[in-house]
Amino acid sequence: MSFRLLADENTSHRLVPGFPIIHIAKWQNGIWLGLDDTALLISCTEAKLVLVAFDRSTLAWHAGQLPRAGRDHSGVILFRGAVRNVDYGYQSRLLAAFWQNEEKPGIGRTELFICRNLSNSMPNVAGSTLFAYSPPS
Amino acid sequence: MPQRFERLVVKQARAAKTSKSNLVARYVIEKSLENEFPGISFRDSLSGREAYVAGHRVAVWEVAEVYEETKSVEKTAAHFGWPLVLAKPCPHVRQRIP
Repeated sequence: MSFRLLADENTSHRLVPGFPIIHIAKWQNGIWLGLDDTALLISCTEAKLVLVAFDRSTLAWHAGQLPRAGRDHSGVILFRGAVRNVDYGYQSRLLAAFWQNEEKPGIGRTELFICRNLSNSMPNVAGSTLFAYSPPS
Repeated sequence: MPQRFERLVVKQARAAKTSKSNLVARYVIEKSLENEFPGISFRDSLSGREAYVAGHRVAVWEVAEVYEETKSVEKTAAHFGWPLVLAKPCPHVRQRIP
């Protein structure tokens, strides 16, 4: 399977079976586990992987800083605080609904936080459904 | 403190935009917690210094958050796919962080 999404370490290992997602512990034998946020975002760009994570505090900021430094990132999908860490089923449904570009009532409206670059190839979901990240000026 | 290390600490304090004594205090606190809880280390984050699980990308507060949901060290370790020894200290470390 050709993977498109990389699940960060604090997401479930059981996230969306059969979906083009791989957990960071399994990707390249786990050697990316030691990368800091910036290095991981750059590595994801090189591997054309969209990062899926829970880290609301730092990843969005780093994703916003990279374009300012003239670097690209391939997109970040963050689960918001309303999504429980261990609620694998809900995480899977949110991710699948977003990735398959489906509009479902109540899905994705407040639970996902999306950082995207204009040049990346994430699904083009209506702006009302998701939150595009704008780096602070 | 040997002079060559003092120069190093002064340089690092300048880079961190803090005083030498503040930096030394921080080093003492962090090192004592690292010794008390093997496998825990510290790094910079947007909100200041942050405890994390060494060799991994996960912060201690993230492990503690999962522990609060599962109420079980075993389930928390299983969530991350770790041995128990990695997950066990995190809720305690979170309480001890200044």
